[in-house]
Parts: sequence; structure tokens; C-alpha cells
Amino acid sequence: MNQILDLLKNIFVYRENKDYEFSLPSNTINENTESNEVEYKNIHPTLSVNLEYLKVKYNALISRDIKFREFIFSSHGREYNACIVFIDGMVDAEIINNFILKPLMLIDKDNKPKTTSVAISNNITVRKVKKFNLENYIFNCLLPQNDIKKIKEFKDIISEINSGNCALFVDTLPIAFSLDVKGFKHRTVSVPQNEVVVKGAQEAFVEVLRVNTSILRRIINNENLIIENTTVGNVSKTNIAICYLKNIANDELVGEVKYRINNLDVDSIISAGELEQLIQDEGFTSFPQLISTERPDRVANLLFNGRVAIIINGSPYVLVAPGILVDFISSPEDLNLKQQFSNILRIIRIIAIFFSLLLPGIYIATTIYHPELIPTELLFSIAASRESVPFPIIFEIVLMEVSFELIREAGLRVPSPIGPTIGIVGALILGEAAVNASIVSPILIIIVSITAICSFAVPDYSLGFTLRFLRFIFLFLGYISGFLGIALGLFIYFGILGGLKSFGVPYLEPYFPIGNKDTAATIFLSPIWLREKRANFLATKRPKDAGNISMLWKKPKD
Amino acid sequence: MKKIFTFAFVALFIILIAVSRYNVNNQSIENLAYVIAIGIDKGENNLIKLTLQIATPSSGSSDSEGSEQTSGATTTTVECSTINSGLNIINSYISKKLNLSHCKIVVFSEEFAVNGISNEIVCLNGNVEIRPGCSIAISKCAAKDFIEITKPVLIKQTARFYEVVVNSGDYTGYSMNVDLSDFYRALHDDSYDSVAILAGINTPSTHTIPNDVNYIDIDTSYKEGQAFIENKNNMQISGLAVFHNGYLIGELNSMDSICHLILQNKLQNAIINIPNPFDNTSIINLSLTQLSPPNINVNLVNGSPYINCKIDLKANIESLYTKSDYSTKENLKIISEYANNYLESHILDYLYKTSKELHSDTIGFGKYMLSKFSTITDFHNQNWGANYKNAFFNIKVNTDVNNGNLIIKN
Amino acid sequence: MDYKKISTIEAIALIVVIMVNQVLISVAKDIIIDTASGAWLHTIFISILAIFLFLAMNKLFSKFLNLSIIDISNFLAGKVLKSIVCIALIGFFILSATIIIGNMCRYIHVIYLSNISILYLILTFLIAAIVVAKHDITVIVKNNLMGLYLLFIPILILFGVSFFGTNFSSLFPIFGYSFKDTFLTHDTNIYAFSGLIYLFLINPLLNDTTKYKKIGLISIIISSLYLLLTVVSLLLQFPFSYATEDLFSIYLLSRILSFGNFLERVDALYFFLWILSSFAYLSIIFFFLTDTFKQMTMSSSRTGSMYAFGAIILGFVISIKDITDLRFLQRNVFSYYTIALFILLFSILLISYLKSKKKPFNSN
Repeated sequence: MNQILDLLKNIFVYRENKDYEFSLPSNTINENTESNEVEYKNIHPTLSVNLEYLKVKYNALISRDIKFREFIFSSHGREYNACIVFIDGMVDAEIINNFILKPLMLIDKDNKPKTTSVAISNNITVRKVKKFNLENYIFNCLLPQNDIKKIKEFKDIISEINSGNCALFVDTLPIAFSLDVKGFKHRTVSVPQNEVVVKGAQEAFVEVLRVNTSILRRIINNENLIIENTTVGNVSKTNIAICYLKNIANDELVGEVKYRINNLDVDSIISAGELEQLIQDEGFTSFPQLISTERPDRVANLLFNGRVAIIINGSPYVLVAPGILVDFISSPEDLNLKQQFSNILRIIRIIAIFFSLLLPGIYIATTIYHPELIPTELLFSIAASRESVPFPIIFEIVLMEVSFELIREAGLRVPSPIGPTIGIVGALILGEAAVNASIVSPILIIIVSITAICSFAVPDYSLGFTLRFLRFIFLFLGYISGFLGIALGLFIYFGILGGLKSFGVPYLEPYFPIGNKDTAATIFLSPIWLREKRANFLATKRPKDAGNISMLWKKPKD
Repeated sequence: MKKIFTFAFVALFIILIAVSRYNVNNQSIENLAYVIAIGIDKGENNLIKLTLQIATPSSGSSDSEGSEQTSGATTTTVECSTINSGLNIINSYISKKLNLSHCKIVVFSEEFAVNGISNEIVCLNGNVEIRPGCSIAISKCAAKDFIEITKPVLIKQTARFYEVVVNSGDYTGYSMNVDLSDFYRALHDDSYDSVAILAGINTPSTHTIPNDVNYIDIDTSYKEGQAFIENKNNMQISGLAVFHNGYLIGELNSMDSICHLILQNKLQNAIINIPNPFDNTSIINLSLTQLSPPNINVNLVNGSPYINCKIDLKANIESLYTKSDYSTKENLKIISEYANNYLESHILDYLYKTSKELHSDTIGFGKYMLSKFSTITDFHNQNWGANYKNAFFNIKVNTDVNNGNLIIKN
Repeated sequence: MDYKKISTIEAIALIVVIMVNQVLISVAKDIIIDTASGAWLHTIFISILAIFLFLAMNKLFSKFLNLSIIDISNFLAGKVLKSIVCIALIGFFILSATIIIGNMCRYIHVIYLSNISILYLILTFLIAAIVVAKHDITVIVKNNLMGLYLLFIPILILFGVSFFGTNFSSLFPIFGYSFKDTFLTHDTNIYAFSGLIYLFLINPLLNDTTKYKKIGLISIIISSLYLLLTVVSLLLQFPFSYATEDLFSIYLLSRILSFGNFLERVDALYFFLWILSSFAYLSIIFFFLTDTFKQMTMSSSRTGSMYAFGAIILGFVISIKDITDLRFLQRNVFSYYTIALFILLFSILLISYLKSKKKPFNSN
């Protein structure tokens, strides 16, 4: 009884809308904040200056995978401050320990300068010391490495660090040494299993957080990439990294992501899927609101667009916020293809979405309520095929849809060697036998198979799930009132989509409301040289991602 | 959001309960009987005799493919006072519910049509199920016989057969497809009158040669049923039936139909015979196509309509005889003149026949009068429908003759 | 960009959908019945009239950017006038909703679902409108814009087909029944542009109020083009000389459409789109209805009153027994009510404008 009362109250009594709401602010562009920082071109002889500069550059206080190891080594009786800089996860710690730190720190303290001649005059001994060059000495004697470069400029050394080298700074020297100590975890990085592309990178994220961050660093190759660490889970203390490009992503968006992640009161988080459900805006819709991907190149692309990535230790899937509808119908392949091809592919995907959502509903609506819409000959063949079927259409179609879902589920769960067998038994033998036994009509088998194929053509797994689930609702609506029911369903469906927001971004951007379409986040891509802007719904700090003329070679300056 | 879902769920639940009271499944497509042709005859005691042809769809791969008997349709006839009550009577004894949404043709018998068909047309047009694209045909014989005897040949499905056969005028010019919406529109419009397809059974007993017809014209002078045809479908569609205010008042033969199409700017292709200017014993076949819409000018002179038409046609010479020469401009010009004269005289024949004999403005010259008046009352006052019989015509045909053969000079 | 407010194109779509629905309830056919072949001239005439009315409104509104007529009436004469305006507006919205639901349900009942009780059809419409109207205005206009996008190409095909290959002589005699009928007697048909009433209310919802003039002009021009195309198509396809009256004239227009022998009867698809657009229109009505009520009673939310108004409209629609009652309501009540309401709102605006000229308007 109470439950019924609650239900009635839920429906009829006004309650104030206490839903949490977050909207991205208006499209103000904070011009590059870096401009007022001191820019150094060349490496300074003073170590502390160099380190300060690098720490600022790398945001070392928040980026936790940048390591600065300061130490002292002595040579020729003098002590020198030195420091190595490297990115954790990209280097081989063994090499650094054994072949950089050991030779530098453990050299003989008594290594006195060699005296070439001694002259004594007026009780003052003047020792002529052999001319000693520290730079050459380190280069020639102290670093047993095969690949060492002497670098004078900061931008070069930063690039070297980003690519996995270790930089050695020594006080008094206006140069830095770049040492090749790259040590990626090659073993664990494998080919993506679930987001396969033809033209594109063939590596996927793995379960280890540091490896994933290093892959991102390697692709993005820019010191503005910030990787912040935090932990979630009162018991599990799962490590989570929030990555974004400092000079592109909107600060409020980054703040919102951090705010949501830091304000979770759960005991444990194991996977990206769990975290996704905990931080999404709207819990009751089945639409995905965060992009979940296993492809580093896709994450890098999205980061360059101004979004925020969330890496969870222990999960090979990386979440990217915000995710809007356009993201879920685009595949990482699209950006690698010419825009004509990818646009054709997207049209095909939209058709697939339409069919997988509505085809059974339209079939049942036309056959029950609108038989005049079907062309005469087609109608006669449908009617003839249903002649000896004992079930009503609704039962027949639900039977087939459910058994299809069963086949799909069974095919997923059984050990992989038996998997294809289920498919063959289910699809071929069962379908054929059902038709021969006049339990279902052949037309219906075609409808169900087209729906199934279309639902596989949807690139995003979660969106595919949503469509599969909603398909049954439209089937039911079409059954009770034909096109009126389908119109009702679509109208409410559009209403839900229109009200949805992902991290403050309306779900149907850039179409409803209208945003700029010269970006990568549109259904129909413009040619790559015209895609010179970042999506304005992300309110990025750098609204353009290419010059007005990106192909400068076409218009050489006179 | 949760509230919305609860609300939608409850609402759907209520609707489901409401709908489940109705047996929806009786409507589903295999439980309907699809009517593909309706025949209306005159019955006893002022009743109408309603004949329905109902499709019997069967799986295409089954055995009875070769036999001629199963044309995929069955017919049933009932006598009733109105179409709707007749449908109800038929529903009471056939096993499925009738559905008219795939009806392709409505056939009226000539006997019935002379007494007026406007009530039936209005009834059919107001029906939700019947398509406005459904053809209207008048048959010389009883509509029941026409529907029962006509057998589809070359096409398996009867419905498809009707669809294709009524459109044969597109490439022959011998008839013209008139659909329900056209007919209804003409019925309600004062400025023009309606025509319908003239169809009929063609058996040896119906073959007749029209009286006093030149041998050149003989191919195009047949109406339905008259031509000497031996074919398994036993039917012929040729000529047009002319109506005035919903009453059948006359018939037009194939040549008239071609003239009708020319004046209506609907001629796509038609082959006519003209006398050969170079050889009295042979005929030249011309394939006619409309070059541009006819230029029609209507004026009232002393109260009677004076109608000027300028017609541009393209004609391809289709025939060759042993000593033909189409290589010189002069020859083509001579043929063109012959063709112009021939067409002009036939179009005038047709126009005077409709205006003087039948008093029916089938072309719709009245429409050209509309712009001459500023209000509808003025137009109604001059009473076009009655005045049309006083019309005078001035026809100017210009054919652009080309050689349509592989050989130019023989 | 403020996501809480509506952009220019969405506002235009909001006004245009009103005309799309006016055509659904046979306004175009009414115009033809009134003025026969002069209907197209008549339509052009009332469109120009509507544009001039809007330009006058725009001039008067220039003093009151960001304000709706409700705020202005409050400014002019306090709460009493505000309540009067609100009640008049609520009556207008309830009438509009009643007429559109009543018409659409009867169409569906006659054409497709004759074995489902009309009550459930009415409930379907109310559910659709209420579920979506519970959202923000932004969601409603997005939905509406989407519906219009879907309708755009099919409707152009429909007009194109009815224009193609037809003789334009049906547009003559040019003055229809008489010159007076075309230009004077039936000018009340301007109620077809009831979108003007919404233009009194739309200002506070706009993202960029400086675009008000542009929004109004473009939407009225699109609406009048739509009305004109419908009137001309109907004139070309159906004879005028015998004034037939039909249930749903634009549906009859869609019935003549066929694409070869394969897709012969696509009117069900058109019906589907029209249902979508009437849902969108209804949700807009519901939004403004509850929003007006909210402003009148100063309540904190508009969702509370939604069910009550839903029930009232349900009662109205059920109590209408027949299509003839509906036509009476539409032609003799709704049209005069709309015009009277427009005059009321316009005079309030005019007086406030004159008042604010003497004493500059203070937003507090």
C-alpha cells in the first residue's frame, strides 16, 4: 500500500528538482596562460634554474610520473650537484641505476686532479693542473652508454624526455646529456581486441596504469600533458590517473571531472565500467555518456580535442569525458580515412542504428495497422508466407528476437572453441527448421537477421546495447497502436536525448543546439584541411587546431 | 528523470490494458482478403451487382506454377443496394475480412454507366481504404464477365497485370490511364468533363470492322473488343469512354484517344499510319512524341467559344518500303505536310465529335477560360458546360519528321 | 552560449511548427472555402498583414527587451492586469490544445485505428506532451526542431508533386467569389498566424534578444510560405467550383503521392510525421500554459500544474462529440478569441510603450 502511495506521490506531488546540474560556462577563451611565464631557450649553467624551469614546464607538483633525482657526484676533488630527469614507466630503471647513477655516484672520491708541474715561489705552491674539461670527462669517462647526446636547448631536451630518454643536468654545465634508457613494457601491450581498425595503430591499453600513461606520453609528446594521480575506493585505493592537455582543455571541465572522482564514497573500484556508472550525469538512461576505449590513439585524439581522459589501474579501458552521441557513432578508423569514405561509412551506421532500433517495430506496425503502405506484391508474399504460421505476429517476432538474443548470449559465454558451433546450430539449423516446420515465416527471419546485423554495425558496444534494449519497447508500441505508438516512442526518446548532458555538454551537440561543424566531432566530416577548429561545446582554450591554411606548401610565402 | 520513466511506464501499462480488450490480431495481414478489382453491374430491381476479385496469395515456390487455372485470384458476386452494404454481405460469407487498400481497378459496365456513376465514384473516393490511384474502366460487356474472363498473361499476379495493362497507353496511345482522383476531380469541376478507360472482352464474336473506314485508318479505328486479336488474356483496352456530369455519353476510338493525349500534353509515344505521298499502295508509319505542350488559346467570339490550338510534335518514320528515300529535306517536308494534314483533320474530327455530338469538354478548354474572368460568379454566368457545343476550332499541327530507321535510303 | 535559453533557429522553428499544425487542422481548406480561387491572393494578403503587425510589435518591444507581455502588464497596471492577461493566455492555450488534440484524434480514429476508443488516443497525445513538457524549454525546442527537420523534405516533395505537371489555371478566376471576399470579409483568417501570440511571450527565453526582429520576421515568412504552398497545392489538386469540405485535406493531398508502382501509398508516413509535429506543438503549448500559470501564481515550479491542465484539456476534448463541433469551435470561437487576445496584448504593449516614453522604464 505504502509503495502505491509512494508511486502516486512520485507522480503527482511536486518535488523540487534537486538534481545536480553542471553546465560548461560560456565560450570564453582564456588566451595562453603560458605567455607570462619566463621562457628559456638555452640551458642555464645553474642547475637549480634548470630544474625550476623544468618542474614548471612539466607541472611536476601534479604530474606524478615525472621523476627528478638529484644527487651529488665528485670529480677531481670537487663536488658537483647533478640531477636526472625522466618519466616513470618509459624508462628502464635497471639501466638508470646501474649505468647512470652507479658510475656517477660511486666514482673514487680520491680522484684528485693530476698535477702536471709544480712551481714554488714565495712559499706559495702553484700547481699546474692538467686542463680539465668536465663536460668531456663525463661524456668520455663516466657514462657507459651507447647513445648519448649533448643538448643545448630546452625544447630539444624536453622532447628527448618525452620520448623516454633520461636527461642528466650537471651544475655549471650549460648543456644536458640525453641518455637512451628507453624501457617500455613491450610485452603487455597487444593488439586491440574489440576496436579493430584496418588503417591505424595496432596497440591497446593494458591493465597497468604506468604503462598506459607512458603510451599516452609517447603519442602526445608534449609537456602540457598532465597526468594527475588520485585514488578511489575506501578499501581498494585504486589508482586513477586523470589526463588532459593543460593548454587546451577547459579548466572547469577538468575541475568537474576531478570533483566527481574525488567525491566518491565507495569501498572499491575495479574497472572502468564501474567508474563510468558512478560519475555519469544521468543514471537512469541507458545511453553511454562517457567514451570508453582501449585505443591509445583514439584517447590521444580526444585529448587533443580538449577532453579529459581517466585511466583506471587494472582496467584496459580508458574513459574519456564528455561523450556525446556523435562520438558513439564514429569509429577511430574514420579519422584515418578520407572524409568521403568515412562519411559513407557513417551514413551506413546511421541506417544501421535506425534499423536496429525500429525495424521490428515498423514491421509489426505496418503488418497490423498499415497494410496499405506495403507494396502489393510484397504484401502478397508476406501474407502467403504467414499463411500456415500458427502464432500471431507479435508472438512470432518476440519469439525470434528472444531466441536470437539467447544465441548471442550463449555464443559469448561458452568456451571459445564451441562458440562457432552455437552460431551454426542457432542461426542455420534452428532458423531453417523453424521455417520448414511453419513456426515462423521466412520474411520474419529476414527481419530479425537484418536487425541483428545492424545492431552489430553500431560501433559503440554500449550504444548497441541501448538500441537492442529499446528495440523491444518500439516493438511493443508498434503492436499496440501502429505508427502512432512509434511516433509517441520516438518523441519521448528524442525528449530524453535532448535533455541529456554529459559533463555539461548537451548530448546532441553540435546539432541541437547548433555548434560549429568544422570539427572532428560531427556526423559528416569536412575535409581534414578545413577541420581547423575545436568543437566549441568543449569551450577549449585553443579554439583552433590548425591554421587558416593548414597546407602551407600549397601557398608558399613569396 | 526517474519520475519520467515511472510516469511513462504507468501510462504504457494503462494503454496496454486498454488495448488488450480489442483483438488486434484479427487485423494482421494474413487475416485480410485483398480485393484487387471491383466490378459494378446493373442488377435486378434497381440493385447493383457487385463483383469482387480477391487475391489468393500462395507461396511462390509451391507446385502449381505451370497450370493456367490458378491466376492467384478468385471472384465473388453479390447483388446489393450500395457498395458498402455489398461489402458487408460478402464479408459475411468469405472467411477473411475484405480490405480494399490494394484495389487496382474499378470496372463499370456500359449498361450501368449510362445511368450515371457519380454516386459510386463519390462513395469510392470517400472510402479510406481505396487508393486514389485506382483506375476507372468502362467495359462494353458486363463487368462481372470482364473480371472473370480476363486472365493475366506474361505476368503471374493479377494485381500486377491490371497495374501494367491500364498503363499501356503510355507506349501505344490507344488509351489513357484514368484514375479515381482524376475522375472525381472532373466530376466536381465545371470547367471540364471526365473520361475513363474503355475496356472489354475480345473474343471472335466481338470482332467487327468499323463502317466506312479508310484502310489507312483501320488500325486506329478499333474500340475495345473489336480488333482481330487472338490472345489468351481475352481482353482489349482501347479507346476512351466520355462522360458528362457523371453519365456515360459516348465512346472514342483509338485515334481519338491519340488526339486526346496530344491535346492534353500526355502523349508519350504512339504509332499512326499516314498515306504515303510517293506511293499510293503503301503506308508510312510515324511514331509520334510530344515536342512541347500544345499552345491553346480560348476566346469568346459573339458568345461562342473560339478555340485556337498550336501543336508541335516530333515524328519518327518507322517504316520502309522498297523504294523509300528519306535522305532529302524535300521528301521529309512532304511527309511532314501529309502528317500535318492527316493529324489536323483527325483532331478536328475528334473535337467536333466531343463538342457537337457529345457536348462534353473532355480536354478541359474551360480551364483556359478561367483566367478570362475575375470572379467565379462571372464564370458560372456564362455557363461553359452548355456553351461548349457552340465551339469553333482552329487547329495547327506542326510535325518535325525525322528518319527513325537504320537505313535512310532504300 | 547559455544552454538554458533557446537559440535563434530554435525560436524560429518554435513559431513555424505552430503554422504546420494550423494547416493540420484544416486552416488552409477553410481559407479555400471562404475565398475559392482567390485563396492564394488572400493568403498573401493576410501574410503581409501579419508581417506588418509583427513589425509594429517589434517596434514597441524595442523598449522592453528581455520582457514578456506578462511582465509588461505587471509594469503597466500591477497584478490585476497581469492576472487578466495570464487568464486570457491560459484560455488561448487550452483552446489551442483542445482543437489540435480533438482534430488529430479524430483523424487517427477515422483513418487508422477505428477499433481503439478515442479516449485512449487522446491520452496518448496528452502523455506525449506532458512527458516532454516536464523538461526545460530547451529540450522542447530541440525536439521540435528535430521534428521539423524530419518534416522538411517530405513536405517539399508533397508540394513539388502537386505542382508538377499541373495546369495553373485552377488559380483563376483571380478574385474567387468577389474582390470583397478576398480582401475584406474573411480577414479574420489571420488567426492562422497565432504564432504572433507566442511572439509576445518568447523574449525572456531568447539567448540573444537583439535577434527578436529577425526571429519574428523569418518565422512569419516561413509560416506564410508554408501556408501559401499548402493553399496553392490544394487549389491545384482539388477543384474549387464545388466547395467540398473534407476531414483532413492535406492528408488527401498526400494520398495522391506515389513513387512508381512500388511505393504507392506513403500517406501513413506523412501521418507519422504530422503526429510527431503535433506532439511537438502540444508540448510547446503545455510549456507556455504551465509557465504562464507559474508566473501568474508565482509558484516555484510549473510541473505541478501540468497534470491539472492535462485533465482539463482531456475533459474539453472528450466533451466535444463530433468533428462539426470542433470546426465550430475552431472557426467561430478560436479565431475570434485569438484576434481579441492579440488586440488586448497589443494595446497593453502600446500603452506601456507610450508610458515608458514619458517616464523611462526601470527594470525594477
